[in-house]
Amino acid sequence: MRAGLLFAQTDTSNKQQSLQEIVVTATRNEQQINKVPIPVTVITKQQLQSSGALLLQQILAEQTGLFITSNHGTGVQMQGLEAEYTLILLDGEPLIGRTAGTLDLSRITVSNIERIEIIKGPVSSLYGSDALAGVINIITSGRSDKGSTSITGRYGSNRTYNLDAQTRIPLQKGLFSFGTNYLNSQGYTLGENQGSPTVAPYNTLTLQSRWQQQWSSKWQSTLSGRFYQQRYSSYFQDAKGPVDDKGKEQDANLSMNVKHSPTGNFTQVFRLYYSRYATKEDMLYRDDKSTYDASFFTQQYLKPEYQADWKITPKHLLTAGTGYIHETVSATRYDDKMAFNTGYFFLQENWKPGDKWNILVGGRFDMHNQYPSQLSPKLSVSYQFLPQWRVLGSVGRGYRAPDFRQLYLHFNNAAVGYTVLGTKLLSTVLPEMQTQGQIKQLDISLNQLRELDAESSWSYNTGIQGNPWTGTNVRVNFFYNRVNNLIDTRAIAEKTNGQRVYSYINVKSITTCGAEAELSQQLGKYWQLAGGYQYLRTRDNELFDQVKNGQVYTTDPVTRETRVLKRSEYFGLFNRSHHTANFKVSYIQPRYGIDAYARVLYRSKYGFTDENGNNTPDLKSEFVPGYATVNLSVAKYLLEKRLRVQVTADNLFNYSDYQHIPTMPGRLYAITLGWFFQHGDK
Amino acid sequence: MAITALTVAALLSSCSKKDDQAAPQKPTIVSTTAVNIDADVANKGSFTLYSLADNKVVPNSDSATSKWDIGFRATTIIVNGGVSGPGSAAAQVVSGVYNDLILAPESGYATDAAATKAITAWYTYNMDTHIISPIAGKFIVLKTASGKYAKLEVTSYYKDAPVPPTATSVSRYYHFRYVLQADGTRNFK
Repeated sequence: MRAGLLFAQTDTSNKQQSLQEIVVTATRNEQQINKVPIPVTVITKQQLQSSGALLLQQILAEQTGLFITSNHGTGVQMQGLEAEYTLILLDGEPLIGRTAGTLDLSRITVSNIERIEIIKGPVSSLYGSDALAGVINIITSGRSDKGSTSITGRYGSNRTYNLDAQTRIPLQKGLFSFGTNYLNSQGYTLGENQGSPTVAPYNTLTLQSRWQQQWSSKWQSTLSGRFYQQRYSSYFQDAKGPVDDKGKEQDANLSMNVKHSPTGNFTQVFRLYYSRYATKEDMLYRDDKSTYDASFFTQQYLKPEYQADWKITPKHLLTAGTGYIHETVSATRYDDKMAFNTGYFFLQENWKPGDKWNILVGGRFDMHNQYPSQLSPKLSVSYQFLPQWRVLGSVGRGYRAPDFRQLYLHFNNAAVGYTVLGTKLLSTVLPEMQTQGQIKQLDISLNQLRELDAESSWSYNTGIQGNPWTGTNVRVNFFYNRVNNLIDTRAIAEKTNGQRVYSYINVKSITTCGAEAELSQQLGKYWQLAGGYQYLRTRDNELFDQVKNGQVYTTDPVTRETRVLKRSEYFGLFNRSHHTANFKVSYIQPRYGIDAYARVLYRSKYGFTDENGNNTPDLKSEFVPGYATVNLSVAKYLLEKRLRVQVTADNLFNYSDYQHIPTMPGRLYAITLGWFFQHGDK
Repeated sequence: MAITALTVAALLSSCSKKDDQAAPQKPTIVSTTAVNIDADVANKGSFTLYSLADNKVVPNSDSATSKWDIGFRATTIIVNGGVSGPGSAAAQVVSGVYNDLILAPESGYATDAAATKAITAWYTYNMDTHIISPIAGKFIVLKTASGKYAKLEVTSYYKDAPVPPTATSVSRYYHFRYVLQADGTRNFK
């Protein structure tokens, strides 16, 4: 953020310092990154700035083993598990407002982010639902207590402009910060003669503020709030004429922490978190302004939580916490306002039997009023076998709760005539429909319907981290996740109009496994090279059994003859690449105030669609071909490092494949001017 | 390279299979294909009735006769028996390789009932692309209106059978192939 701070960091950026970096997400308390027995990836402010990223997905897309996916919003795939299995935290508190499981990452602009911590592997043992593939914690509170202000403007392709202002004001014994960000884009349309824009024009506004106060050596409080609003304006063609589609999305959260440290060995924190997410969409015929469709969705989340950290002896750190979540949803497609209540407690023991060992054992128990209680244990161990090398291993259970839609959705598609029912409504709505003569036949009898359970996993991670020589950092991790009780859509009845009634059921299980490796190398004072690679295999276990038994068939694309799908031809789940890699070159020359950052991102082919009804990608036309993109950014500081000019070119070679990847807009240029100054040191 | 070799091997094996079939073929076996059979494209709500023996569409005025064996309307397929017609047709959907089935199953046939048709679950519907695809390895074995055995595989649901169909492809055009054994045995070879 501030030129001085930024370059102070890079000037002294050596291995020793980054190894002692403090991380919080893996254990819910402060730990050194090179000691915590769980691999943590940290994206620093420096990386965020150097990359010229505007939105969160842009920076996540460049991380080893993460992919950006698009399904009712922009999400992230981690360890081969889709977006609904990763928990997104903002300063340690969950962001809400998922659509079809995806929390739209484009809701988060990176301008005020200090760093991002990424944990792969389940952390339900601390955070409960959704932390099954991993956790991404976006941290906006910095460790500096100096005053600074920045004003940044950016203009780029698709007539996208961004105005940003951030300020930090030191107080007598505290710090106040405030930031605002406005983003406006014309969107874009790929391909010819499209009936509607690929990405509609939109604008977003983000306001965020925080007040931290150190009342005494023992008492500290933090109050923070954030407000986000997006508006978009789209259109599409209907048989009766063009339809204008205007929408609004709002996300607000408010968080209060009170921290009390009566002795050096005991800390307790009380947190109160409230969040509200709301959308409203109106579709009107352009000609006569009559309504095509109108919908709204409002979700609220309230969570009081207490946590205590007690250092019993230097070798034992005990963390315990308890909390309660009250969640409500009201929406067009729900009959009433629905409420979810969860009570939970968690316990974690961090045991360091010697300097070389670090053992973390813990678990969390969630009691929920709508689905069975969940126990999520986790054990992690690290052992430093050489001064610069350690091995890490962990085993844990993760879970993802059934969402509102799966329990309470009541949706009648007026145009086509089908119905989707949440499982909680089946026992009342289905008999109603039967008496009204809407049901022709039930595919399953009513007493066969079971209560929907959470999706849950057992996951194993093992790896090695080390520094073979100065300036070199190596990390390797092997992972295995088996997710059971996956919730899937099933037709459960046929209606008299020939359409079906759909509901949700726990059916199949999937396995994802693979390995990732990262290597970074400092070259001289100014250059840094980094490379990452992930190998991934995934499978639908029930389908794979059928493949092994020769019960899955494919069609020869030339002869159109059917034949048995060979075991070696089973590619795995859709939207998963076997190979993905990145390569990054960074050049930072503090004396001339220049930094440049080039990244190459590659993903191999992945399954996109099923054309022959066998539920697995196997024909050439069912795949998206592999591709690579290059992102480049160059920046220079001027006027005694008060002005920063940055030029970025994302997707430099203009790769696009709009039929398969409509979210990839082709080459994007942008220029950013930032004005920085420091003030009011206390 | 490996893929090319595989494709060639597949072509060779399918060629040799055809040669095998050619030699012992009996005159009672009709093996043929039907293309672009309009299955209510205009959405009038009526079935297109088809005679396997004559390899042609039968007019709807003959719906109450045994002149037709199988009928199509959108994704719904009926056979001439049970609630659908006066014939004795019955059918089942089987899993396997169409060419490898040389003997029709002895049992497992159902007639059309009011609630359930004999032929179901032969296709998938992709909720994203809205494409209807016949499931590879699923085909129909039926007894015709006059009780003769036949096997039938739907190869496309779109006009002129594009590979693959796209959002602009015109649906409700059946393409299928079938083997009809006219001598009353279950033998398809």
